[in-house]
Amino acid sequence: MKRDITIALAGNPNAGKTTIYNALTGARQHIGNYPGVTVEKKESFITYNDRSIKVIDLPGTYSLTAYSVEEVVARNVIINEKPDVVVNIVDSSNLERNLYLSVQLMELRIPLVLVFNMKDMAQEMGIKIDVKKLSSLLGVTIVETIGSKGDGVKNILEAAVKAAESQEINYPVITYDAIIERYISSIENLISKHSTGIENYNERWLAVKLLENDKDIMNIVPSPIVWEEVKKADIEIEKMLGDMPETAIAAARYGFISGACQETVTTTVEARHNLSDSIDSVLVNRVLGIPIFLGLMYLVFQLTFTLGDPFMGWIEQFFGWLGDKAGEIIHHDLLRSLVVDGIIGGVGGVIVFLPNIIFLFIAISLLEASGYMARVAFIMDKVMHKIGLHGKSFIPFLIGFGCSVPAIMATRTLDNYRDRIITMLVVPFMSCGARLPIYLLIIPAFFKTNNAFVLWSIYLIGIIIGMLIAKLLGATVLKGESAPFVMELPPYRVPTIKGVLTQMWERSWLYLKKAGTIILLISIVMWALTVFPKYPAEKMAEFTDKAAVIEKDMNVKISELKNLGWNYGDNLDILDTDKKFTDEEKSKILSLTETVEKYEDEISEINHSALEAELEYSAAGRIGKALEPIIAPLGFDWKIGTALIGAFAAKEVFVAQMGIVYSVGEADESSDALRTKLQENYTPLVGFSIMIFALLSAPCMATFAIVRRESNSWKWPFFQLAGMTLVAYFVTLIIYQVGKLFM
Amino acid sequence: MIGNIIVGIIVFTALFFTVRHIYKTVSGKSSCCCSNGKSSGCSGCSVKK
Repeated sequence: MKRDITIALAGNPNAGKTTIYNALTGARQHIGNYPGVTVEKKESFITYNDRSIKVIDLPGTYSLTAYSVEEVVARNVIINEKPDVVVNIVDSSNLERNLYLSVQLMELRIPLVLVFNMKDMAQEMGIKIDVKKLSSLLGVTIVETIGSKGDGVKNILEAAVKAAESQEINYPVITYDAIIERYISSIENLISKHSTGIENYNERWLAVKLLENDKDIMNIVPSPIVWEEVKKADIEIEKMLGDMPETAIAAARYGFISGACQETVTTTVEARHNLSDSIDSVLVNRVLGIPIFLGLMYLVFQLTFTLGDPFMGWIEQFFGWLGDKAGEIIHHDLLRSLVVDGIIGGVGGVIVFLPNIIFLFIAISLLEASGYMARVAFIMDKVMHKIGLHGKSFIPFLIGFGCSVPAIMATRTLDNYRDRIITMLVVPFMSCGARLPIYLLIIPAFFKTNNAFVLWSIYLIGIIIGMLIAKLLGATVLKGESAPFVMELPPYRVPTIKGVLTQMWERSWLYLKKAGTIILLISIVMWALTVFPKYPAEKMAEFTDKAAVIEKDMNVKISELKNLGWNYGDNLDILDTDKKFTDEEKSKILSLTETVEKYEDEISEINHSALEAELEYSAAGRIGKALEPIIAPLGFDWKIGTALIGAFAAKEVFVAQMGIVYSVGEADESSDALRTKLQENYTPLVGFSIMIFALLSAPCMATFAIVRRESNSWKWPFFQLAGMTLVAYFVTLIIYQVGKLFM
Repeated sequence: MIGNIIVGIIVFTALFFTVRHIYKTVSGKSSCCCSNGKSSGCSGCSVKK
């Protein structure tokens, strides 16, 4: 005789549970075509394949919350009596509502078999379920039955025995909103530290139930410290999400179910038709979904520029004024250069873009909080399958538009190691917030119109190249099949002001903090590298001597002009009408003025050459010059080269370093915007090439470190570093060289 | 002279903290855990490593 096992039958009222129970056990329990026939548990014993099986028929419940006696009875049997397997009877004709209980059973992390009963009724209603796919998505065996005819009933026993024997649990973990997850984690920690007698319970499940305000569970976890945390979570979650925790949790579960059904059920005739479904019929439409997403992104970028520009102008003016004032107050040359060129030029150049960043992240957080971003992952599912990944990998991609570091941590939701590594490696191709200042600096400098379109195309290029690389990796170094996942479709929600403002504040604060700490430090170091070692005085004297000779000649010509009664610099337009000069004098004045102007140009040229020589002599200049042969085919000079090296520490350093180089390299200490200086020195093609290189090149060091930690290997971060740099180099090379042919 | 000393102190202090920051980040010893999972990055992080 084999080991005895216990099977508990659970299911929604009127799902045909008692019919299945009778068919399994041969019992004659009362069956009614209305909910709530079974109000207490029934037990029977049967023998199957030389094994004694105890079958418990639980009361019908819609969920496992302690709202009714039936729910409490069902839950207590499952938790305290620990059946070897729970068989969940599901009404196939009302799938989404019935799966809500299934999801809660999955959350209990107990062996489970799903029985899709009333298969015939579902078929009559035109509902077609891809059972194999759904089973693979949920990680649960699904048996289809027609209880009233006894069809498939034997398969239930077979599947139940198999599940009871293996005790395998492969269900996906439902992830809730970030703030709920944060509290689940903290409550779980507190439960494990401050509670006893909870061995029967899964701690995550207890934490979720406490957040759902389950009174029974509060008695099981009688710890005031835990209750205090739950109370705090209640207030905070409601403030952030605009919903009570239990509502938000239920919405996430329905989102999970809705996602699973969207992928596997062709005609879901489901009772929960609501506004979300109507909106989804357009936004998640197979044809319209992607164009709508691309259109929305374009709109977001357009708003970023339109709304951010005036504020940016004010900040730019403020730093210009601050630089001038600091220049007036500080008399020591080197200290003035450090403050004006290094600190104000570097850090100021980065802070200038804060308004655009604020507006972009307001827009992104609105899209996230409304539930639209979850749809984007869903509509990208088909495309992602084509590159060998699942749509779930697109969620880290979306997070990557903010910052690659949390995006790489979000790959933890992917169970398959191969999918995780591929996603981790390509996440930095999604343009993060730190690269945004580079685009915001370059786009308005070189592209007078279509600013939003250029920015949009940069993001799109990142997505396309990321996907191509993922496909390449999946076909070469990381061959294999992607694991199936359920794409969650949470209901649409009106974002709360507090939630959006909090996220905007977090983003802005992070940006300012970065500018005030690491960007400031690196700016100072970069300034020192740009100024030292000092150009030898004797070599500098060659320039000053040369300029002095020209200046002397120029002064002679200016004196000659004065002798003729004309001050150099006076408006030449009035000369024609001025009766006090003869024609000969007029012609002489014009000729002398021309000569003085020529001398002025020559002096300016010498000063410029002196500054160039000084810069090239500096450490940064030498590093950049050494790099120049490699980066010249991309259209980059040594100045861009040094800025790109600095960008490894943090991408914003590129902007800071360009600010420093062009500030130190300015003879007249003018407070011209950096963009004007770039316009004078580079072509739009070089500008575009810089953006492409910044987009695709090596990720910042924080990303390098997180890939190392998450992959638990040095191989992948180095592979990513080398791979991305090569991709960036060759893509930029092609763009620049091909672009040159047309320009 | 004093100006040069001030510049020297500022530059070397910045260099020290930059190297320290790079070392801590690359070696994974940075105090930021970035585990909030939001697109806003590492801020608002409540769980310390």
